[in-house]
Amino acid sequence: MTELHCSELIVDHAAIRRNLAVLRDHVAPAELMLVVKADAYGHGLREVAATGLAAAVPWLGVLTVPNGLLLRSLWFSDEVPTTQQPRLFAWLLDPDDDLEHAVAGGIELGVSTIEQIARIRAAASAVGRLARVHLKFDSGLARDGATAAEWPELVAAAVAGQDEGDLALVAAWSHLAEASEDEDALARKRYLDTVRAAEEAGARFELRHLAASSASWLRPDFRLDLVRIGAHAYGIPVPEGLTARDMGLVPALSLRSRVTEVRDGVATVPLGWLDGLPAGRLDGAAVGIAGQRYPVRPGSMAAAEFQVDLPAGARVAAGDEVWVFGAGIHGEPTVNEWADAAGTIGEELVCRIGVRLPRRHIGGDA
Amino acid sequence: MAVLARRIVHRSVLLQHWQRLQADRSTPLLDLDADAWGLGAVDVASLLAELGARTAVVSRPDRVAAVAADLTTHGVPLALTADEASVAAAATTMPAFLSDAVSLQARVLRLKRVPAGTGVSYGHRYVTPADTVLALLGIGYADGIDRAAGGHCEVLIAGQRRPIVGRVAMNVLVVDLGLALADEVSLGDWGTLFGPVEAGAPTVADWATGLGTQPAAVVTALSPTLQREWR
Repeated sequence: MTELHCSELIVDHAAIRRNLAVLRDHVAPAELMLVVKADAYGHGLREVAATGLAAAVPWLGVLTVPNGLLLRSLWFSDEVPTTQQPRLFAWLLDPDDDLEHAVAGGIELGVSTIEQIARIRAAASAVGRLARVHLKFDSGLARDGATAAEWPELVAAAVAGQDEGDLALVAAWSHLAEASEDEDALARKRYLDTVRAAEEAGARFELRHLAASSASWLRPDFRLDLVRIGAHAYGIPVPEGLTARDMGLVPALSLRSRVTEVRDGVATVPLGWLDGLPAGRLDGAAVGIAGQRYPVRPGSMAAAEFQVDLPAGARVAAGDEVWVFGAGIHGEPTVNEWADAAGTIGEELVCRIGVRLPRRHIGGDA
Repeated sequence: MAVLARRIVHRSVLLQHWQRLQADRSTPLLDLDADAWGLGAVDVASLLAELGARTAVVSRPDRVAAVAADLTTHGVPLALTADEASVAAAATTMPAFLSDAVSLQARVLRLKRVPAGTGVSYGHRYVTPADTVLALLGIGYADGIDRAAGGHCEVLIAGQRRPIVGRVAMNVLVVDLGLALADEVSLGDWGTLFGPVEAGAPTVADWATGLGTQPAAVVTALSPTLQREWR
């Protein structure tokens, strides 16, 4: 085929809006933060943020300060009133981040250390604005977040900033290790005890947030005031044993291509690991062609193509449309079914593939 | 602008490979598809033009037009082909050309002292065997690091190779530094995940062995959104 870009990704913003509505109802009265890190899980940061804005999502989780500044600048140029913009939350801070711009842009910052508090206070003084911070507690993941040993001094530094008018302590927050139900329950208890200790030390928090997609779906007592939702907003189910359909969610990303050749009962699809598809045998992976599901030939995934086994009599020809993954309406599996075949999770695949192929956005206006 | 992670493409290594390939075959063919397998299509094409090559491959016909438009924009004079024999030739050349030409580095964002018995990252698949210091690096599976690299791959940091531990997350991973390195590493330091020129660094081949894949797949897994520098 010489057609221009016979492979493309389709991002369905109607699906994202529908998922947001389902999730908002499910977690209410907790508020929802739409997480748009990693180029909105490969769906497109700018476009997904615009959908979040139109859906009046109260929070966007942007991960980094540059992502937050980018969105602010887009909306500034669009002249969206600040009061209608979601609150922006960035929590992966870099030693070189421009915190003055972050504070001036009203980007709320997740902080784990007293050094970060000092830098943010300096930025707040320099720009003459209150910096809004979320203090992170390490409840058992051992990544960032203050440990139990570090927490009292982090709180003391933050409370000093609050009392001297540099800082608003928006939240105390944490992230779960999802090691087991018991471990998460213990993490929740440690976190809540820690919040209480901070409040006794003078911290005045506006809200508490602990849960991401999985715990916010399964465990009402983990939702607290705000939940941070990435995967589920894109229709990628996280809890084991649940499908998007079970949850009323719709996968938002589809990958479409065309058969380049059919020979001896095998169809060739011009996509491979150069496009972010998983290498390896991929037992159980499949594609949809004309509403029928056909298995990917195990071990056929190459740099720029893979093969599909066709049963005798299958009416598949070069040029036919192939749906690699999507919402299932063309016979194709979901991205999670591909992830199962690859021994990983749907999030890894959408992050990898989404940034590598042309994306077409549909369903954007409603 | 703050940078959490970067890939460095070593021009000198590419030149050595070019010369070696030229000795074997008069006109080595390189593939510019998928942004020249992550090296940067325009940069590779410019290098080729400089070296006197007239043709490059784009392994999928439907993508030739987009690459051609890109080269025209950047004023790189190179003809593109997608004929079957050339594509096959380039598919053999590319893995040898790129697999040891790239370094991957990420910055230390956090250092954390933890006791023995601390579970690390999702699912606590790693539990610290002794009191230690954990380093959080600003790179994860969205950048192209395999989620399963924990326990299988290492990072060069402060002159030592130390293991990635636990599940690699979307944007970060954890390295177990051990107490001996605790005072040698500072926030903002670069760790080298792999690289051909950094003394003592893991190689792409080490990563491929650890992950049970081929070296080219390790390098091409790196995200187009990851910062790229040519040196």
